[in-house]
Amino acid sequence: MSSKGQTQSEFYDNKIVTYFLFAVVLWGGIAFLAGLLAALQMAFWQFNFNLEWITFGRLRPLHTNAAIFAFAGNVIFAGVYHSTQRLCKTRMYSDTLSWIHFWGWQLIIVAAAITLPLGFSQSKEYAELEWPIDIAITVVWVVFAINFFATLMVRREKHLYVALWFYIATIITVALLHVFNSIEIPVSLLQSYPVYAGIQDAMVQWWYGHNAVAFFLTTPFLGLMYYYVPKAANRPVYSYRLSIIHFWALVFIYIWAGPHHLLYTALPDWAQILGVVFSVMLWAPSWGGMINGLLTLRGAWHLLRTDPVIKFFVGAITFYGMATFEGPLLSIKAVNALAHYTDGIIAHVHSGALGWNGLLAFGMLYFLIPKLFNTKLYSLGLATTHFWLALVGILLYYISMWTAGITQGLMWMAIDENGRLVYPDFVETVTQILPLYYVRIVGGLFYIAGFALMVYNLYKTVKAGSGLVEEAVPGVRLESGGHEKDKGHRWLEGLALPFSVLTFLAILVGSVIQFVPTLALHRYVQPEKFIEPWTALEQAGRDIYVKEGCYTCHSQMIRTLDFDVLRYGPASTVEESMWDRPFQWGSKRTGPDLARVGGKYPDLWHLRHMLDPREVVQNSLMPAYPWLFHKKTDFYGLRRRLSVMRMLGVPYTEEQVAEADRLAQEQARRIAQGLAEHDPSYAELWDKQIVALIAYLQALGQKEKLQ
Amino acid sequence: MRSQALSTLFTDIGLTLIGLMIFVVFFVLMIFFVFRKSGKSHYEKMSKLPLEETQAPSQSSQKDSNNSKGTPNE
Repeated sequence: MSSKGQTQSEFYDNKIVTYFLFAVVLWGGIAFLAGLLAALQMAFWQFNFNLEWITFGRLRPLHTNAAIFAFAGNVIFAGVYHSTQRLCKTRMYSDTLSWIHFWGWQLIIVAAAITLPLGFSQSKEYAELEWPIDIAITVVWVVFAINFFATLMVRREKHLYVALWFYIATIITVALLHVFNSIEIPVSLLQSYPVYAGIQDAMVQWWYGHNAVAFFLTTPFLGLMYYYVPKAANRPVYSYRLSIIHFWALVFIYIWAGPHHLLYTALPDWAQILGVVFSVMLWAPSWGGMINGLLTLRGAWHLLRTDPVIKFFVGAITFYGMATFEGPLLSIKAVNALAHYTDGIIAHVHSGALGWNGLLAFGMLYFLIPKLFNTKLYSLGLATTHFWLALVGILLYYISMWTAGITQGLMWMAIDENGRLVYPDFVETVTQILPLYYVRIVGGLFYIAGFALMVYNLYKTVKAGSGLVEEAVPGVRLESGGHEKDKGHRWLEGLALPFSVLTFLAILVGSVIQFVPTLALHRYVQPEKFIEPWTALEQAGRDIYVKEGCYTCHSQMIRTLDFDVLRYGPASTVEESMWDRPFQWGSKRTGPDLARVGGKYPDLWHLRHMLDPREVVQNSLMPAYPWLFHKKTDFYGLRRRLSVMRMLGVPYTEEQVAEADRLAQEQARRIAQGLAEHDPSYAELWDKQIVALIAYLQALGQKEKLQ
Repeated sequence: MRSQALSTLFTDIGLTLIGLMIFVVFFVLMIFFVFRKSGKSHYEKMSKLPLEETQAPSQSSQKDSNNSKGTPNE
């Protein structure tokens, strides 16, 4: 720890905090509106407007990225920059790094907002952004890390407060997750293939995906909870000891739980059970943290009546408790069999995102803006109204989506006494829950109405303020609070570097134990099975499938459950996706599974389905894809794409790579000629994307060959 | 039989045992250090750290405060 020459005349950097808070409001609004449009599209397909840029498959990643990285991300940065300075009793280490971080992150969000609607997507959930943006994220995150850790090094408070530990865990783990999940080989300026394939890609992706929730939407927000709830209630945290156990248990256990997203799939049983066991174990630290947060209000519960900030914080912690109760529950295999792929999971994530992250963010905004602008909140009444609108909105969303999820899950599971599916027609299970999608829209409107009130309230507050407050850094305090020598955890709290290294080791243990066996993929592949790689045209079609975000509604993973096998065919195997980059197992079935759709319908059916889904599937919610009928397939990029695949181990011959464009064109012409038998004009479609997509769809589940 | 059942689920018994050992040892040591009596005063002091700069309750509960213009609490 260095004194670095700080004096009383130095001030906290409040400007950077304010900028991040304004970014929260801006991106929060966009994320919520994108969510509302997506909800409208789910209820009324017409809201896709036949526009490729806002069709559901492209809008959904835009919504999730905006909610997670733009809204929640800026909340985290605002809170970290504000609280770290005060807990370290020093200004952030470098203003330059702070501003590079701020503008760099906003540019990344803008880049995401442009590229995702244009269809540049890796189709890996919460990691959709393409490789140049991945690199930019890494650079900006490293800038943030340098600034944060350098601030810790020059701090003037010996011990690190618990909030800082959660920030440390966040910064280290997100870096690790992002880098390892984003190892990809570029094939063009805005397209890449991951180095992992099939089961490996699934394992790495859900290690990332689950821990993005854990270390982007949970640990940093817990850090904010441990700082802002005591400040708002003017009470110390209920149990500092409990916070230590909460921290280490959470960091150690969370990282193992990713495989619970892949239950009953082709993932080896040992990995599934590992995910289940550690997910169930998460109950203890999660609820320990929730109890610690709520009991911080002991003796101050009266504030719940009068103070909207406390209302928002209590609401947020309660939703944290609810979401972290559901998470382990959903990871129990019997429960998972019912809820997975349904809207129940959508309810679960939104109780976390809207309840935990959203309410905590709003509480923080109402707490900080008046302080930063040296004034009172413009209207306590409006803030209280916001709270109730948000709460009612979340409950409408949550109850409707859980009802939809359980209803649809039970319909999928229903088998009659003759061993046949009671509801064999998938769309029947969708129309049944349609009214609940209308309720979700109402819930979303409530939530957004509350948000709009907050924007107005904060605007009036800032206007009434006397400008941004200049706060002097308080006097130097170097003593550790006693003459007794620090021991054990107390000693560790005084040492930022060893603390960070231990945190890194804690997350590394679970990661290594999960991945080392999975990297030996050959152990799970049966040698007598050979899966033919996609032909050049099928690969082109697959790239279109990926670009359009079809995974947002269709899985490609038939689980080892009777009702899945009855509906879709034999359970998917490890081998079947062994060349798939990226894997497309999916996590939600708004439409049916497509793992074995190949050969199920004629080419003409697919053509008509993509042009107007309701022409062949009555009551379908799927958007139409008219642009696939005039956009051309990129035949000439196929050589490069297949050569990258070959480099990654896909068994293409040299000829298949060198002749990729010619072979693809030949296959496309054959398909188009077949279509032209029904309508001569279809012959002209041979070089259009629709033909490549049909080739891919018809190959799904058809590639296995016994040697 | 138990080891047979385990071997079908956990193909890397050695790795699994290492994980379990690290996990158990880590938590036993942590609980030992955290609940030692000597740490009480330290934990009390640390838990009050965010409040050191705070001179009044939450800004928005202005009814409880006579500070009508809301001077900064920090």
